[in-house]
Amino acid sequence: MAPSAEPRSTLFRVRSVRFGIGTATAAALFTTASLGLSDLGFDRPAVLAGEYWRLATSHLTHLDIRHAVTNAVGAGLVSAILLEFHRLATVFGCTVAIAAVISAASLVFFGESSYAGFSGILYGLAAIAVIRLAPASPWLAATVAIVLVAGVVTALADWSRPWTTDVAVHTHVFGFAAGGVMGLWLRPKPLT
Amino acid sequence: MIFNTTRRVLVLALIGALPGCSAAFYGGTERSTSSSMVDYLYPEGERPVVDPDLTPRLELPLRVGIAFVPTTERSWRAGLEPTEARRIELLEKVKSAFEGVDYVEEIQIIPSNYLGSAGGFSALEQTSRLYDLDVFALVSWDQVVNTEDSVFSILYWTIVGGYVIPASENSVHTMLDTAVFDIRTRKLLLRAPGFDHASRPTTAIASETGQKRISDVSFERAIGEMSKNLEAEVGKFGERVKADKSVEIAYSRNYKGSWAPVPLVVVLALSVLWVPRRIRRSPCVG
Repeated sequence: MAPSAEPRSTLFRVRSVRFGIGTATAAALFTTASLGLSDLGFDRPAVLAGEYWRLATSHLTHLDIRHAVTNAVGAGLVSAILLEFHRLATVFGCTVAIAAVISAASLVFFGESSYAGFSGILYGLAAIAVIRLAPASPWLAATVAIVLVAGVVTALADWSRPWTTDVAVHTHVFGFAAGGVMGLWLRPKPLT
Repeated sequence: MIFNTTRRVLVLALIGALPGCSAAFYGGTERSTSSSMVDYLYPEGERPVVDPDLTPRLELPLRVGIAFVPTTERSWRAGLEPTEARRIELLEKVKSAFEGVDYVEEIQIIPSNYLGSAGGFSALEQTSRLYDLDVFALVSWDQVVNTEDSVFSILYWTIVGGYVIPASENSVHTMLDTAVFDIRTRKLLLRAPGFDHASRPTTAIASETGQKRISDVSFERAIGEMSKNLEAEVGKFGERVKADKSVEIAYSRNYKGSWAPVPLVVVLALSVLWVPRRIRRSPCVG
Protein backbone atom coordinates (compact mmCIF):
# COMPACT_ATOMS: atom_id res chain seq x y z
CA MET A 1 0.00 0.00 0.00
CA ALA A 2 2.18 2.81 -1.22
CA PRO A 3 0.97 6.30 -0.40
CA SER A 4 0.71 8.81 -3.22
CA ALA A 5 2.90 11.86 -3.25
CA GLU A 6 0.36 13.91 -5.19
CA PRO A 7 -0.97 17.01 -3.38
CA ARG A 8 -4.76 17.17 -3.00
CA SER A 9 -5.19 20.28 -5.14
CA THR A 10 -3.30 18.71 -8.04
CA LEU A 11 -5.35 15.55 -7.78
CA PHE A 12 -8.60 17.53 -7.71
CA ARG A 13 -7.49 19.56 -10.73
CA VAL A 14 -6.59 16.42 -12.66
CA ARG A 15 -9.95 14.84 -11.84
CA SER A 16 -11.82 18.01 -12.86
CA VAL A 17 -10.05 18.12 -16.21
CA ARG A 18 -10.74 14.42 -16.82
CA PHE A 19 -14.37 14.93 -15.83
CA GLY A 20 -14.69 17.94 -18.16
CA ILE A 21 -13.10 16.21 -21.14
CA GLY A 22 -14.98 12.96 -20.50
CA THR A 23 -18.36 14.66 -20.16
CA ALA A 24 -17.85 16.91 -23.19
CA THR A 25 -16.70 14.02 -25.37
CA ALA A 26 -19.55 11.76 -24.24
CA ALA A 27 -22.14 14.53 -24.60
CA ALA A 28 -20.98 15.32 -28.14
CA LEU A 29 -21.02 11.64 -29.08
CA PHE A 30 -24.36 10.86 -27.43
CA THR A 31 -26.27 13.86 -28.71
CA THR A 32 -24.98 13.35 -32.26
CA ALA A 33 -25.90 9.67 -32.18
CA SER A 34 -29.34 10.53 -30.80
CA LEU A 35 -30.21 12.18 -34.12
CA GLY A 36 -30.40 8.72 -35.67
CA LEU A 37 -32.22 6.90 -32.88
CA SER A 38 -34.49 4.87 -35.19
CA ASP A 39 -31.50 3.62 -37.17
CA LEU A 40 -29.08 3.19 -34.28
CA GLY A 41 -31.11 1.95 -31.28
CA PHE A 42 -31.19 -1.70 -30.28
CA ASP A 43 -33.97 -3.50 -32.10
CA ARG A 44 -33.72 -7.29 -32.22
CA PRO A 45 -35.63 -7.88 -35.47
CA ALA A 46 -33.53 -5.19 -37.16
CA VAL A 47 -30.29 -6.73 -35.87
CA LEU A 48 -31.37 -10.16 -37.06
CA ALA A 49 -32.24 -8.61 -40.43
CA GLY A 50 -28.58 -7.64 -40.79
CA GLU A 51 -28.32 -4.22 -39.10
CA TYR A 52 -25.47 -5.40 -36.84
CA TRP A 53 -24.18 -1.89 -36.16
CA ARG A 54 -27.07 -1.47 -33.74
CA LEU A 55 -25.27 -3.82 -31.31
CA ALA A 56 -22.66 -1.08 -30.82
CA THR A 57 -24.55 2.12 -31.58
CA SER A 58 -27.47 1.36 -29.23
CA HIS A 59 -25.17 2.29 -26.33
CA LEU A 60 -24.32 5.65 -27.83
CA THR A 61 -27.68 6.82 -29.13
CA HIS A 62 -30.21 8.25 -26.66
CA LEU A 63 -33.92 9.06 -26.51
CA ASP A 64 -33.46 12.82 -26.17
CA ILE A 65 -31.02 15.52 -25.10
CA ARG A 66 -31.83 15.17 -21.39
CA HIS A 67 -31.21 11.44 -21.55
CA ALA A 68 -27.95 11.98 -23.45
CA VAL A 69 -26.66 14.69 -21.08
CA THR A 70 -27.51 12.74 -17.90
CA ASN A 71 -25.60 9.71 -19.14
CA ALA A 72 -22.75 11.91 -20.44
CA VAL A 73 -22.30 13.45 -16.98
CA GLY A 74 -22.29 9.93 -15.50
CA ALA A 75 -19.71 8.84 -18.07
CA GLY A 76 -17.53 11.90 -17.29
CA LEU A 77 -17.65 11.22 -13.56
CA VAL A 78 -16.88 7.52 -13.75
CA SER A 79 -14.04 8.08 -16.22
CA ALA A 80 -12.52 10.71 -13.87
CA ILE A 81 -12.45 8.08 -11.12
CA LEU A 82 -11.30 5.13 -13.24
CA LEU A 83 -8.47 6.99 -15.01
CA GLU A 84 -6.78 7.30 -11.64
CA PHE A 85 -6.45 3.55 -11.47
CA HIS A 86 -6.36 2.43 -15.11
CA ARG A 87 -4.97 3.59 -18.42
CA LEU A 88 -7.32 5.15 -20.95
CA ALA A 89 -6.95 2.08 -23.20
CA THR A 90 -7.99 -0.21 -20.34
CA VAL A 91 -11.07 1.92 -19.54
CA PHE A 92 -11.96 1.97 -23.21
CA GLY A 93 -11.47 -1.80 -23.44
CA CYS A 94 -13.73 -2.32 -20.41
CA THR A 95 -16.39 -0.12 -22.03
CA VAL A 96 -16.31 -2.18 -25.21
CA ALA A 97 -16.38 -5.47 -23.29
CA ILE A 98 -19.34 -4.41 -21.12
CA ALA A 99 -21.18 -3.18 -24.22
CA ALA A 100 -20.57 -6.54 -25.88
CA VAL A 101 -21.96 -8.44 -22.87
CA ILE A 102 -25.11 -6.26 -22.76
CA SER A 103 -25.71 -6.53 -26.51
CA ALA A 104 -25.20 -10.30 -26.51
CA ALA A 105 -27.59 -10.68 -23.56
CA SER A 106 -30.16 -8.45 -25.27
CA LEU A 107 -29.91 -10.48 -28.45
CA VAL A 108 -30.18 -13.86 -26.74
CA PHE A 109 -32.57 -13.25 -23.86
CA PHE A 110 -34.61 -10.14 -24.55
CA GLY A 111 -36.38 -10.50 -27.88
CA GLU A 112 -38.97 -7.84 -27.28
CA SER A 113 -36.66 -5.21 -25.85
CA SER A 114 -35.78 -2.12 -27.84
CA TYR A 115 -33.54 0.29 -26.03
CA ALA A 116 -31.04 3.07 -26.35
CA GLY A 117 -28.61 4.51 -23.85
CA PHE A 118 -25.22 4.27 -22.14
CA SER A 119 -26.32 3.53 -18.60
CA GLY A 120 -25.84 -0.25 -18.83
CA ILE A 121 -22.14 0.42 -19.51
CA LEU A 122 -22.19 3.11 -16.80
CA TYR A 123 -23.36 0.53 -14.27
CA GLY A 124 -20.49 -1.71 -15.30
CA LEU A 125 -17.85 1.03 -15.09
CA ALA A 126 -19.28 2.18 -11.74
CA ALA A 127 -18.97 -1.40 -10.44
CA ILE A 128 -15.25 -1.32 -11.38
CA ALA A 129 -14.97 2.08 -9.66
CA VAL A 130 -16.49 0.64 -6.46
CA ILE A 131 -13.85 -2.09 -6.36
CA ARG A 132 -11.04 0.43 -6.96
CA LEU A 133 -12.35 2.96 -4.41
CA ALA A 134 -12.87 0.37 -1.69
CA PRO A 135 -9.30 0.25 -0.29
CA ALA A 136 -8.98 4.06 -0.13
CA SER A 137 -12.47 4.88 1.00
CA PRO A 138 -14.62 1.93 2.06
CA TRP A 139 -17.52 4.21 3.02
CA LEU A 140 -17.63 5.94 -0.33
CA ALA A 141 -17.30 2.65 -2.18
CA ALA A 142 -20.07 1.15 -0.06
CA THR A 143 -22.35 4.12 -0.78
CA VAL A 144 -21.82 3.82 -4.53
CA ALA A 145 -22.35 0.05 -4.31
CA ILE A 146 -25.59 0.49 -2.35
CA VAL A 147 -26.88 2.99 -4.93
CA LEU A 148 -25.99 0.61 -7.78
CA VAL A 149 -27.65 -2.39 -6.15
CA ALA A 150 -30.67 -0.32 -5.10
CA GLY A 151 -30.95 0.98 -8.67
CA VAL A 152 -31.01 -2.54 -10.07
CA VAL A 153 -33.41 -3.88 -7.40
CA THR A 154 -35.89 -1.02 -7.63
CA ALA A 155 -35.86 -1.14 -11.42
CA LEU A 156 -36.39 -4.91 -11.35
CA ALA A 157 -39.33 -4.41 -9.00
CA ASP A 158 -40.62 -1.79 -11.43
CA TRP A 159 -40.56 0.94 -8.79
CA SER A 160 -38.18 3.18 -10.63
CA ARG A 161 -39.31 6.18 -12.62
CA PRO A 162 -43.03 5.50 -12.85
CA TRP A 163 -43.32 9.05 -14.16
CA THR A 164 -41.03 8.67 -17.12
CA THR A 165 -39.92 6.34 -19.89
CA ASP A 166 -39.48 2.68 -19.09
CA VAL A 167 -35.95 1.72 -18.17
CA ALA A 168 -34.20 -1.11 -19.96
CA VAL A 169 -33.43 -2.86 -16.66
CA HIS A 170 -31.65 -5.83 -18.15
CA THR A 171 -28.88 -3.58 -19.50
CA HIS A 172 -28.17 -2.42 -15.91
CA VAL A 173 -28.16 -5.97 -14.57
CA PHE A 174 -25.81 -7.35 -17.21
CA GLY A 175 -23.63 -4.21 -17.20
CA PHE A 176 -23.31 -4.33 -13.41
CA ALA A 177 -22.44 -8.04 -13.44
CA ALA A 178 -19.89 -7.67 -16.26
CA GLY A 179 -18.28 -4.65 -14.56
CA GLY A 180 -18.07 -6.49 -11.23
CA VAL A 181 -16.24 -9.41 -12.83
CA MET A 182 -13.85 -7.09 -14.69
CA GLY A 183 -13.17 -5.04 -11.57
CA LEU A 184 -12.08 -8.15 -9.69
CA TRP A 185 -10.03 -9.45 -12.60
CA LEU A 186 -8.24 -6.26 -13.73
CA ARG A 187 -5.04 -5.03 -12.17
CA PRO A 188 -4.73 -1.33 -11.42
CA LYS A 189 -1.92 0.52 -13.18
CA PRO A 190 1.33 0.73 -11.25
CA LEU A 191 1.77 3.72 -8.93
CA THR A 192 3.75 6.54 -10.49
CA MET B 1 -121.73 -52.79 -40.52
CA ILE B 2 -121.01 -49.36 -39.09
CA PHE B 3 -118.34 -50.94 -36.86
CA ASN B 4 -116.68 -52.56 -39.90
CA THR B 5 -116.66 -49.28 -41.80
CA THR B 6 -115.11 -47.44 -38.84
CA ARG B 7 -112.47 -50.15 -38.47
CA ARG B 8 -111.60 -49.92 -42.18
CA VAL B 9 -111.24 -46.14 -41.94
CA LEU B 10 -109.01 -46.46 -38.88
CA VAL B 11 -106.81 -49.05 -40.55
CA LEU B 12 -106.50 -46.91 -43.68
CA ALA B 13 -105.71 -43.85 -41.57
CA LEU B 14 -103.02 -45.78 -39.71
CA ILE B 15 -101.51 -47.01 -42.96
CA GLY B 16 -101.63 -43.48 -44.30
CA ALA B 17 -99.99 -42.09 -41.15
CA LEU B 18 -97.11 -44.56 -41.06
CA PRO B 19 -95.15 -43.06 -43.96
CA GLY B 20 -95.58 -39.64 -42.39
CA CYS B 21 -94.32 -41.02 -39.11
CA SER B 22 -91.30 -42.57 -40.71
CA ALA B 23 -90.70 -39.39 -42.68
CA ALA B 24 -90.38 -37.65 -39.35
CA PHE B 25 -87.35 -39.84 -38.70
CA TYR B 26 -86.12 -40.78 -42.12
CA GLY B 27 -84.59 -38.30 -44.51
CA GLY B 28 -81.69 -35.79 -44.55
CA THR B 29 -81.24 -32.35 -43.09
CA GLU B 30 -78.59 -29.74 -43.73
CA ARG B 31 -77.54 -26.90 -41.49
CA SER B 32 -74.88 -24.39 -42.25
CA THR B 33 -73.17 -21.36 -40.81
CA SER B 34 -70.75 -18.99 -42.43
CA SER B 35 -69.22 -15.57 -42.24
CA SER B 36 -67.92 -14.04 -45.42
CA MET B 37 -64.76 -11.98 -45.42
CA VAL B 38 -65.65 -10.35 -48.74
CA ASP B 39 -69.20 -9.47 -47.65
CA TYR B 40 -67.84 -7.95 -44.46
CA LEU B 41 -65.01 -5.95 -46.00
CA TYR B 42 -66.96 -4.85 -49.07
CA PRO B 43 -70.58 -4.49 -47.94
CA GLU B 44 -73.39 -3.72 -50.39
CA GLY B 45 -71.40 -4.72 -53.42
CA GLU B 46 -68.61 -2.22 -52.77
CA ARG B 47 -65.69 -2.81 -55.11
CA PRO B 48 -62.18 -3.33 -53.73
CA VAL B 49 -59.97 -0.32 -54.36
CA VAL B 50 -56.33 -1.17 -53.82
CA ASP B 51 -53.56 0.95 -55.25
CA PRO B 52 -50.97 -1.50 -56.63
CA ASP B 53 -48.24 1.14 -56.35
CA LEU B 54 -48.80 1.56 -52.63
CA THR B 55 -46.34 -0.56 -50.68
CA PRO B 56 -47.35 -1.59 -47.17
CA ARG B 57 -45.01 -0.09 -44.59
CA LEU B 58 -44.85 -2.07 -41.38
CA GLU B 59 -43.28 -0.52 -38.30
CA LEU B 60 -41.80 -3.32 -36.27
CA PRO B 61 -42.53 -4.68 -33.80
CA LEU B 62 -46.15 -5.12 -34.90
CA ARG B 63 -49.31 -4.90 -32.87
CA VAL B 64 -51.70 -7.50 -34.25
CA GLY B 65 -55.46 -7.74 -33.77
CA ILE B 66 -57.33 -11.02 -34.30
CA ALA B 67 -61.10 -11.32 -34.68
CA PHE B 68 -63.76 -13.51 -36.19
CA VAL B 69 -65.60 -11.86 -39.06
CA PRO B 70 -69.08 -11.03 -37.72
CA THR B 71 -71.97 -12.98 -39.23
CA THR B 72 -74.18 -10.78 -41.35
CA GLU B 73 -77.48 -12.69 -40.97
CA ARG B 74 -78.90 -15.37 -38.73
CA SER B 75 -80.90 -18.24 -40.14
CA TRP B 76 -83.39 -20.22 -38.07
CA ARG B 77 -81.78 -23.36 -39.50
CA ALA B 78 -78.34 -22.25 -38.37
CA GLY B 79 -77.65 -22.01 -34.64
CA LEU B 80 -74.24 -23.61 -35.15
CA GLU B 81 -72.01 -20.51 -35.05
CA PRO B 82 -69.79 -20.39 -31.97
CA THR B 83 -70.77 -18.09 -29.12
CA GLU B 84 -68.63 -15.02 -28.43
CA ALA B 85 -67.03 -16.71 -25.42
CA ARG B 86 -66.20 -19.77 -27.53
CA ARG B 87 -64.80 -17.57 -30.32
CA ILE B 88 -62.41 -15.90 -27.89
CA GLU B 89 -61.39 -19.33 -26.62
CA LEU B 90 -60.71 -20.48 -30.19
CA LEU B 91 -58.81 -17.28 -31.07
CA GLU B 92 -56.42 -18.00 -28.21
CA LYS B 93 -55.18 -20.88 -30.38
CA VAL B 94 -54.71 -18.55 -33.36
CA LYS B 95 -52.86 -16.14 -31.09
CA SER B 96 -50.31 -18.85 -30.37
CA ALA B 97 -49.31 -18.74 -34.07
CA PHE B 98 -47.97 -15.20 -33.56
CA GLU B 99 -46.41 -15.75 -30.17
CA GLY B 100 -42.67 -16.13 -30.32
CA VAL B 101 -42.49 -14.22 -33.60
CA ASP B 102 -39.81 -11.69 -32.82
CA TYR B 103 -41.31 -8.91 -34.92
CA VAL B 104 -44.70 -9.12 -33.20
CA GLU B 105 -44.97 -7.02 -30.08
CA GLU B 106 -48.52 -7.72 -28.97
CA ILE B 107 -51.51 -9.76 -30.10
CA GLN B 108 -54.97 -8.51 -29.17
CA ILE B 109 -58.08 -10.67 -29.40
CA ILE B 110 -60.93 -8.43 -30.53
CA PRO B 111 -64.55 -9.44 -29.82
CA SER B 112 -66.62 -9.57 -33.04
CA ASN B 113 -69.09 -6.97 -31.80
CA TYR B 114 -66.25 -4.39 -31.81
CA LEU B 115 -66.02 -4.70 -35.58
CA GLY B 116 -69.38 -3.12 -36.27
CA SER B 117 -72.29 -4.66 -38.12
CA ALA B 118 -71.99 -2.25 -41.08
CA GLY B 119 -68.59 -3.72 -41.92
CA GLY B 120 -66.07 -2.38 -44.34
CA PHE B 121 -62.47 -1.29 -43.92
CA SER B 122 -63.64 1.87 -42.18
CA ALA B 123 -65.00 -0.24 -39.29
CA LEU B 124 -61.73 -2.14 -39.23
CA GLU B 125 -59.76 1.12 -39.14
CA GLN B 126 -61.84 2.46 -36.25
CA THR B 127 -61.22 -0.69 -34.22
CA SER B 128 -57.52 -0.56 -35.09
CA ARG B 129 -57.27 3.00 -33.81
CA LEU B 130 -59.08 1.99 -30.63
CA TYR B 131 -56.65 -0.85 -29.96
CA ASP B 132 -53.61 0.84 -31.56
CA LEU B 133 -53.08 -1.97 -34.06
CA ASP B 134 -50.83 -2.15 -37.10
CA VAL B 135 -52.28 -5.23 -38.79
CA PHE B 136 -55.55 -7.11 -38.49
CA ALA B 137 -56.07 -10.87 -38.80
CA LEU B 138 -59.67 -11.68 -39.74
CA VAL B 139 -60.95 -15.22 -39.38
CA SER B 140 -63.89 -16.25 -41.55
CA TRP B 141 -65.60 -19.63 -41.62
CA ASP B 142 -67.94 -21.82 -43.59
CA GLN B 143 -69.45 -24.92 -42.04
CA VAL B 144 -72.06 -27.38 -43.29
CA VAL B 145 -73.53 -30.13 -41.11
CA ASN B 146 -75.49 -32.88 -42.88
CA THR B 147 -77.62 -35.48 -41.15
CA GLU B 148 -78.53 -38.56 -43.20
CA ASP B 149 -80.56 -41.47 -41.89
CA SER B 150 -79.29 -44.95 -42.65
CA VAL B 151 -81.46 -48.01 -43.47
CA PHE B 152 -81.54 -48.87 -39.78
CA SER B 153 -83.56 -45.74 -39.20
CA ILE B 154 -86.62 -47.90 -40.04
CA LEU B 155 -86.28 -48.99 -36.43
CA TYR B 156 -87.26 -45.45 -35.45
CA TRP B 157 -90.83 -46.65 -36.22
CA THR B 158 -90.72 -48.48 -32.96
CA ILE B 159 -90.38 -45.10 -31.16
CA VAL B 160 -87.95 -46.73 -28.69
CA GLY B 161 -85.57 -47.14 -31.64
CA GLY B 162 -85.47 -43.35 -31.98
CA TYR B 163 -83.88 -43.26 -28.53
CA VAL B 164 -81.48 -46.18 -28.72
CA ILE B 165 -80.51 -46.87 -32.35
CA PRO B 166 -77.74 -44.56 -33.67
CA ALA B 167 -78.97 -44.65 -37.26
CA SER B 168 -78.51 -40.96 -38.09
CA GLU B 169 -75.13 -40.09 -39.57
CA ASN B 170 -74.01 -36.52 -38.84
CA SER B 171 -71.20 -35.29 -41.05
CA VAL B 172 -69.52 -31.90 -40.94
CA HIS B 173 -67.32 -29.95 -43.32
CA THR B 174 -65.57 -26.92 -41.88
CA MET B 175 -63.35 -24.40 -43.55
CA LEU B 176 -61.67 -21.55 -41.69
CA ASP B 177 -59.52 -18.89 -43.24
CA THR B 178 -57.35 -16.23 -41.67
CA ALA B 179 -56.47 -13.21 -43.75
CA VAL B 180 -54.00 -10.68 -42.39
CA PHE B 181 -54.41 -7.11 -43.64
CA ASP B 182 -52.24 -4.03 -43.40
CA ILE B 183 -54.69 -1.45 -42.08
CA ARG B 184 -53.12 1.60 -43.70
CA THR B 185 -52.91 0.32 -47.26
CA ARG B 186 -55.78 -2.24 -46.91
CA LYS B 187 -53.52 -4.81 -48.54
CA LEU B 188 -53.64 -8.51 -47.87
CA LEU B 189 -50.32 -9.53 -46.35
CA LEU B 190 -50.88 -13.25 -45.94
CA ARG B 191 -53.57 -15.85 -45.52
CA ALA B 192 -53.84 -19.34 -44.13
CA PRO B 193 -56.72 -21.83 -44.32
CA GLY B 194 -57.74 -24.71 -42.07
CA PHE B 195 -60.05 -27.60 -42.99
CA ASP B 196 -61.80 -30.34 -41.13
CA HIS B 197 -64.19 -33.14 -42.01
CA ALA B 198 -65.74 -35.51 -39.52
CA SER B 199 -68.79 -37.74 -39.12
CA ARG B 200 -70.48 -39.29 -36.14
CA PRO B 201 -73.62 -41.41 -35.77
CA THR B 202 -76.34 -40.44 -33.29
CA THR B 203 -79.86 -41.54 -32.41
CA ALA B 204 -82.78 -39.59 -33.86
CA ILE B 205 -83.50 -37.93 -30.53
CA ALA B 206 -79.83 -36.92 -29.98
CA SER B 207 -79.45 -35.70 -33.53
CA GLU B 208 -79.80 -32.00 -32.68
CA THR B 209 -77.27 -32.04 -29.83
CA GLY B 210 -75.03 -34.33 -31.92
CA GLN B 211 -74.96 -31.75 -34.71
CA LYS B 212 -73.95 -28.98 -32.31
CA ARG B 213 -71.29 -31.11 -30.70
CA ILE B 214 -69.75 -32.27 -33.98
CA SER B 215 -69.88 -28.68 -35.23
CA ASP B 216 -68.00 -27.40 -32.17
CA VAL B 217 -65.38 -30.15 -32.27
CA SER B 218 -64.87 -29.55 -35.99
CA PHE B 219 -64.36 -25.80 -35.41
CA GLU B 220 -61.70 -26.58 -32.86
CA ARG B 221 -59.88 -29.02 -35.13
CA ALA B 222 -60.03 -26.67 -38.12
CA ILE B 223 -58.68 -23.85 -35.95
CA GLY B 224 -55.83 -26.13 -34.85
CA GLU B 225 -54.92 -26.89 -38.47
CA MET B 226 -55.30 -23.27 -39.48
CA SER B 227 -53.01 -22.15 -36.63
CA LYS B 228 -50.28 -24.51 -37.86
CA ASN B 229 -50.67 -23.22 -41.42
CA LEU B 230 -50.68 -19.65 -40.14
CA GLU B 231 -47.48 -20.21 -38.19
CA ALA B 232 -45.84 -21.51 -41.36
CA GLU B 233 -47.21 -18.60 -43.40
CA VAL B 234 -45.96 -16.05 -40.87
CA GLY B 235 -42.49 -17.61 -41.17
CA LYS B 236 -42.66 -17.53 -44.98
CA PHE B 237 -43.89 -13.94 -44.87
CA GLY B 238 -40.77 -12.91 -42.94
CA GLU B 239 -38.60 -14.56 -45.60
CA ARG B 240 -40.66 -13.12 -48.47
CA VAL B 241 -40.37 -9.59 -47.14
CA LYS B 242 -36.59 -9.88 -47.06
CA ALA B 243 -36.47 -11.38 -50.54
CA ASP B 244 -38.90 -9.38 -52.71
CA LYS B 245 -39.27 -6.12 -50.75
CA SER B 246 -43.05 -6.24 -51.28
CA VAL B 247 -43.41 -4.74 -47.84
CA GLU B 248 -41.38 -1.83 -46.54
CA ILE B 249 -40.06 -2.44 -43.06
CA ALA B 250 -39.39 0.27 -40.51
CA TYR B 251 -38.16 -0.47 -37.06
CA SER B 252 -39.46 0.36 -33.63
CA ARG B 253 -40.10 3.78 -32.24
CA ASN B 254 -40.92 2.38 -28.79
CA TYR B 255 -37.44 2.43 -27.33
CA LYS B 256 -36.80 2.03 -23.67
CA GLY B 257 -34.22 4.34 -22.20
CA SER B 258 -31.12 3.03 -20.52
CA TRP B 259 -30.89 5.81 -17.93
CA ALA B 260 -28.25 6.47 -15.28
CA PRO B 261 -30.30 7.10 -12.12
CA VAL B 262 -29.75 10.52 -10.53
CA PRO B 263 -28.61 9.02 -7.16
CA LEU B 264 -25.84 7.19 -9.05
CA VAL B 265 -24.70 10.42 -10.69
CA VAL B 266 -24.74 12.12 -7.26
CA VAL B 267 -22.62 9.48 -5.52
CA LEU B 268 -20.20 9.37 -8.44
CA ALA B 269 -19.91 13.16 -8.18
CA LEU B 270 -19.18 12.81 -4.45
CA SER B 271 -16.51 10.25 -5.28
CA VAL B 272 -14.87 12.71 -7.66
CA LEU B 273 -15.11 15.61 -5.21
CA TRP B 274 -13.79 13.61 -2.32
CA VAL B 275 -10.00 13.73 -2.43
CA PRO B 276 -8.23 11.81 0.29
CA ARG B 277 -5.16 13.25 1.98
CA ARG B 278 -3.25 10.26 0.76
CA ILE B 279 -4.33 8.14 -2.16
CA ARG B 280 -3.84 4.50 -1.38
CA ARG B 281 -3.84 2.07 -4.18
CA SER B 282 -5.10 -1.46 -3.86
CA PRO B 283 -2.28 -3.97 -4.14
CA CYS B 284 -1.57 -5.36 -7.57
CA VAL B 285 -2.97 -8.79 -8.15
CA GLY B 286 -0.64 -11.36 -9.68
